[in-house]
Amino acid sequence: MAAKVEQLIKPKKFRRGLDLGTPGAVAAQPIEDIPLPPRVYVPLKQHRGALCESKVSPGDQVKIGQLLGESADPEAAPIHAPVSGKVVSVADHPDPYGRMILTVTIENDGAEEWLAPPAEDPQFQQKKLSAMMRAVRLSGWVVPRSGRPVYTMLAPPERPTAYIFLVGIPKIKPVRLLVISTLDLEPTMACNQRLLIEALEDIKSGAEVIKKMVGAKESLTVIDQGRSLNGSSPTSPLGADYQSVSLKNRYPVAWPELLTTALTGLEVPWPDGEPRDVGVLILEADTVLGVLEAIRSGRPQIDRIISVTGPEMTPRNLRVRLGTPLRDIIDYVGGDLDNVGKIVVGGLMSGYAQYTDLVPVTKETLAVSLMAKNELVAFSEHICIKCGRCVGVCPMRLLPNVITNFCEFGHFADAADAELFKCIECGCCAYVCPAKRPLVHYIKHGKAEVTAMRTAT
Amino acid sequence: MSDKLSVTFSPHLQDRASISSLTYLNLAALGPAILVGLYFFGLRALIIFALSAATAVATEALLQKVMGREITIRDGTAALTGLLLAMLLPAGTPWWAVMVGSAVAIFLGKHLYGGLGCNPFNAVIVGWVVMQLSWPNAVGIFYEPVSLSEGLWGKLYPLDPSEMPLAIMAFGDAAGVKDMYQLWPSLIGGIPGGIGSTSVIALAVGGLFLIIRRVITWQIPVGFLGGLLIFGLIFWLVDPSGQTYANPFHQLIYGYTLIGAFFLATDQATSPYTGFGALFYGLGIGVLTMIIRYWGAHQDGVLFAILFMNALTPMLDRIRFRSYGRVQAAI
Repeated sequence: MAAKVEQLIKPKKFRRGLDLGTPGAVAAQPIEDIPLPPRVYVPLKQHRGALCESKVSPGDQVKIGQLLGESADPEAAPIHAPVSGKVVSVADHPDPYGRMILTVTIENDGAEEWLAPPAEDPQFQQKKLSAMMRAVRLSGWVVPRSGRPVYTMLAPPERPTAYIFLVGIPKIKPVRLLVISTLDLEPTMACNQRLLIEALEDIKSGAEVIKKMVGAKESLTVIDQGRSLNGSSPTSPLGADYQSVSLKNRYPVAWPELLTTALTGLEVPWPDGEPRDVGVLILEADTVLGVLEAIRSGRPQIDRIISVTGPEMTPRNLRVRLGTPLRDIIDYVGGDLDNVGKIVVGGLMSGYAQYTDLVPVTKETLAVSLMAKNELVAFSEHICIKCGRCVGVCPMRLLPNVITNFCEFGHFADAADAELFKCIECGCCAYVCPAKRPLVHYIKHGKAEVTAMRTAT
Repeated sequence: MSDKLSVTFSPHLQDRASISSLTYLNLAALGPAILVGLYFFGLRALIIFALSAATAVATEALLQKVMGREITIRDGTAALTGLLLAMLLPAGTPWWAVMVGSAVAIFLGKHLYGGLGCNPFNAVIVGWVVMQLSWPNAVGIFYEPVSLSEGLWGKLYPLDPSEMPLAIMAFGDAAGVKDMYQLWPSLIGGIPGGIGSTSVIALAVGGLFLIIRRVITWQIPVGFLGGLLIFGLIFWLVDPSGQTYANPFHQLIYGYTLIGAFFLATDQATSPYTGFGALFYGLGIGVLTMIIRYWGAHQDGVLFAILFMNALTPMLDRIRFRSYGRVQAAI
């Protein structure tokens, strides 16, 4: 079997993107729990699909794990109560993407009462596949960056994607290679690297279960190069019977579509495809643990591990209940609050800046990055000087200068022809631009305009 | 909590390199060549450098004031244009010609098209071409290096254009150039030529500095010099005695070859932005330079070759990589 995998794994060195350095400080901090927040704000849309319907009303008493909302949309994940207490309101509240989303506000009573306390089933590996899949779906786990419920990645596609639609036959895409990624998406994040150190055995058994669920022939673990595990060699920290690859985490190679190419040399059909189209399934370590917990003990997703970094503070890795407002987290880590000029949910390269610190942590939150007032960077409306630096760093091999010039002057159809929608918004182009042009801003604007044009016609 | 939070799109980080920092690195890279020019051509060179740079900066400020735009002379790009133009000129260029050429470079070469980044042709070369066509005797006659023993001002001895290295190589006895010009002074810069463009060593040091600091990419200089050497080598091999076609090494060290390869052809706005396009652009300049030198009426084709390839840049920009994920889906 090993020979077969070697056929699939033809690493292709990732040369584009940026070398932003590896996170020294944040990856050295153990994961810790933070005190329970007095009040949580749980948005009813923490995934890519449709808004969930609320299952509770103000005044209701809820227990941990009780269903707060669910939806029939396949790309929506059910949402559970992260704390026990009383529902104060079900009303619109700002979410990390700047939208007003219907949100359940719960006053925490501190009782930590579970609806059904998670109980480990020692026989969980003998469960039927359909029972496992059902457990994963009910747990509501969501892959942070794409916002997809995990079960849609494990199950055969229920909804034909665009190009399959053209052919007319929704076909099950077999998974040949399961990749467990312990790389973090950005240098300010360390959740996956910490889990590799702290929950190695669970990652291993989770990988076994998922391998069985998706019918993958082989699995492979990706490790950040140069990061050793309890002193063992960084090339094989998982033991001899586990295949692992160590990779230099050059931003943004950890993003699934690029990781697929870096590992197998195969390119994912983009923008409509996913790694599974070339037989690869990539799951991050925290997702693997979520799936394992869902199957083993029926525990729904009620928390997330996020990295918190900021000026003049020790970076932290925190296990935070969903719905915890950023204000409580910032209070806990003791950042210099008067000095904070920007709160970013996500990493500094691709995260979203917030206008209020009442925004809650959701299933899509990977990190909270604070920036001091004097660290803030400014964009300029300078005209493109055609230096070509953005072309050299673009991981999707696009021409960001051409696309953004079209978007800047309103030629959105031309921008779409220049493959605007292939952009993954990693921010490398805007990072290197000497004229400090807001390239990602132009691209996001262009995508919104083109989408609006297409829906109108 | 501070009362106002800043909200922008991602990314929230930026590289330190900015237009002005890149331009200042470019100016620093010109340093060695300018110092060599001052050593060999004395106070006259200093005046030309200063006058050209000052005129360029003043013209830019004036134009931006008139057009009601933001005045951007602090980014150093105007000074860079002025200095590069001065480096191409002979030591005896009259002051009015320097001023007109520099002003034309900024006005006609840069701001007429909309300023930095919008010009289709290299502004420095536009200024030089206007001077060359208007006053061929003022900018086409070069002088022997002055010696410091004759004082800072020195006396200028004009050289007959037919005695210039490239003229000897093109129209006279191609092999005779090594008898008239010693190798060492040719590398150091003690030969007749533009006040900042004679020193092979100083220009190469500046150029390598720019490549190492990633201000310019390697593709254009490598393409240019490679194209020039390969084309020259092919013809030299026809007659290795060097009577008909000169030794390609001499083609490399004389004329505006190195200042063109490292400082003029690599102008960001007028060169292709993809790596492959840039390599092609460099090759084109190298080959065109040799064609003009062998069979053209001009002694040195570098500047015209760059100007010509500038015009082809929009086409070369269409040479690009296949974008990611343009593959048949595995269905």
